Amino acid sequence: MNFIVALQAEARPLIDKFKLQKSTVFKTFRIFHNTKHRLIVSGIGQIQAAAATGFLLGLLKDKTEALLNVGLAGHGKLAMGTPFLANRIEYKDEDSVYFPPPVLKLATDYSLLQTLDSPEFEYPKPVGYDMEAHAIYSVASKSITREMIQVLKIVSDNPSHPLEQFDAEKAVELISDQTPLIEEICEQMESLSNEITNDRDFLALVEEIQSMHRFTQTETHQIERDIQRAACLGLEANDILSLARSSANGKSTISSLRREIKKIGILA
Amino acid sequence: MISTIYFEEQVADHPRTLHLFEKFPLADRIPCTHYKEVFNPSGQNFRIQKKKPALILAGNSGKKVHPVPATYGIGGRRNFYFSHMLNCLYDCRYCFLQGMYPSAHYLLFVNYEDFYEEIEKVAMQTPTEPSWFFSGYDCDSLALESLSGFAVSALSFFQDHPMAQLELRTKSLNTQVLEKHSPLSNVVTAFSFTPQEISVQLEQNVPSVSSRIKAMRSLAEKGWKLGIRLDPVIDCHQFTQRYASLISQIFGEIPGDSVHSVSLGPFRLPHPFFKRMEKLYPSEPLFAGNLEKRGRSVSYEPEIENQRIETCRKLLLKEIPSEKLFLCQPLED
Ligand code: SF4
Repeated sequence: MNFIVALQAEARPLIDKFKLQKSTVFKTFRIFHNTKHRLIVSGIGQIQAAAATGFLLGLLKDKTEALLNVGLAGHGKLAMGTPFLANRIEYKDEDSVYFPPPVLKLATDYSLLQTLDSPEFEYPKPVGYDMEAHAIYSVASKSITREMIQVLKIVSDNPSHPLEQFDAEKAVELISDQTPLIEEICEQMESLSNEITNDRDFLALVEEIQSMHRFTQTETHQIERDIQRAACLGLEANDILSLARSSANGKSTISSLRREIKKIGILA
Repeated sequence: MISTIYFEEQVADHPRTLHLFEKFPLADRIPCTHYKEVFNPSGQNFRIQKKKPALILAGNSGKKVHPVPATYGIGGRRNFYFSHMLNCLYDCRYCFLQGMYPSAHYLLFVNYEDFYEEIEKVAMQTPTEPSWFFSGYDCDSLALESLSGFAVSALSFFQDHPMAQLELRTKSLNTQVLEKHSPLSNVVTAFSFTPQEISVQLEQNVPSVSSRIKAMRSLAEKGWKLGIRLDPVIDCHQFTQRYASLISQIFGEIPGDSVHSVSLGPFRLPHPFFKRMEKLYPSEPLFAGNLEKRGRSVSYEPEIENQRIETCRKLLLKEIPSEKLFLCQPLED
């Protein structure tokens, strides 16, 4: 699970909640992590957000990993402290409008979100206002499955409490109040992500077989898919392994596996 | 059932849009300029969206009625299809929609009247020869009737246009709209089947075979003409026994004279669709099994395909005359 936040104050509740450690490897951006979570602090504005997103994408193993942008936002209608998921993200009158697919099952508010180049003091529409989400979505959606990119904002200012100056303690408090919701979002996104990610046992099996013989680039893809086919048709991992062991080379491993698949490749 | 509705701004005030807003008052409403902004972007995951599809309301301003491939038909010479809706309530693993569309959201074109206008024009090209219009190409014709109200409106159009023949293709039990209407001789309601053992493996959320047969019988009793579609024919263990039992179950309950047509179709998918579907469901035994690429399609080996179709053909010919049996090759090789 990956988080992208603009400010250290927005990051703090997440660092505490998930017990994240600061990475000493990366200097370009502040990155915090544990074995399951990774958080990057982008800085304010679209350029910073786009750069941080790009940087974060470089660290991902899989395009099915989940990415949640958490942050504060102004809103023309919602009350202070209200969390909302962005359902449409736009920037000025640019054509590129993003619609994060509504795949989460949550009883939370949803709202349109406008990304701006500077803070909004007038709140002309009943929508959210931030300075990063459009850039994050724009960059992330080039690499990550769209369902796995979501934007959660918490209302920090609105027409009755207009933005005056940034209050770090208030930011921490607003985000802290929403950590149960953030946890719930993480759980749902991780579970969706797991559904479309190959499981570890399968990857280990593929790796082991690929290390036994030499495979060309094409054969590497073929053997991976054939192992998957054989496994889902009911061939046990041990049988697949012994088949590979008894084959003379990569090519013949593929042939013997396909012969086995042929025998069992009919629907039950 | 629907918690998100996207709507094109141009149909925001359409009566069907307003009706659906009213029907789902708690749904989140999100405007868009064109449905393609939501439906078409690459990088969406059909499998995940299928768990909680949104509804997209749009107007179809393009061509609405299209010719069907020459290899497809149920007796008429002039065959067309139209799609007032894209995507389906059900989740059949073999369904080509998963490979064709980037999104699993239900896309409903609310301008039905424009479809009828085009259907009328096409039908009038040959005023003395019937034209067939197939409605269940990109969706199930009845499954989302309570939402779309499409069939109810289509029946009143086709009632006034007897040279236009309509096929409603379904796996649904949502037949109340037909039950309440007097039967029309130019409308065939066609139910698709695979044997129950296959259905439970591959047709998620689809009503059982026996409940579909019951729905058919009730329609037959009301005088509606029925179609039976064994399409796609799926190879499996105990193939002959399972298909024989399905066919005898159907014809044991449905009076032969209410059967307008039976069609048989092999399991074939365009190769790019198959690749996408395989990627979405890498652990699906159907895709892992004995299929091969032939020309631009993926299908069973020709020998298996011919044998299975021939088995079904023989079983069916025990029940119906050959004039009622059609072999459909939905996709080109
Ligand atoms: S019922 Fe038809 S349209 Fe719906 S998922 Fe199944 S095959 Fe596809």
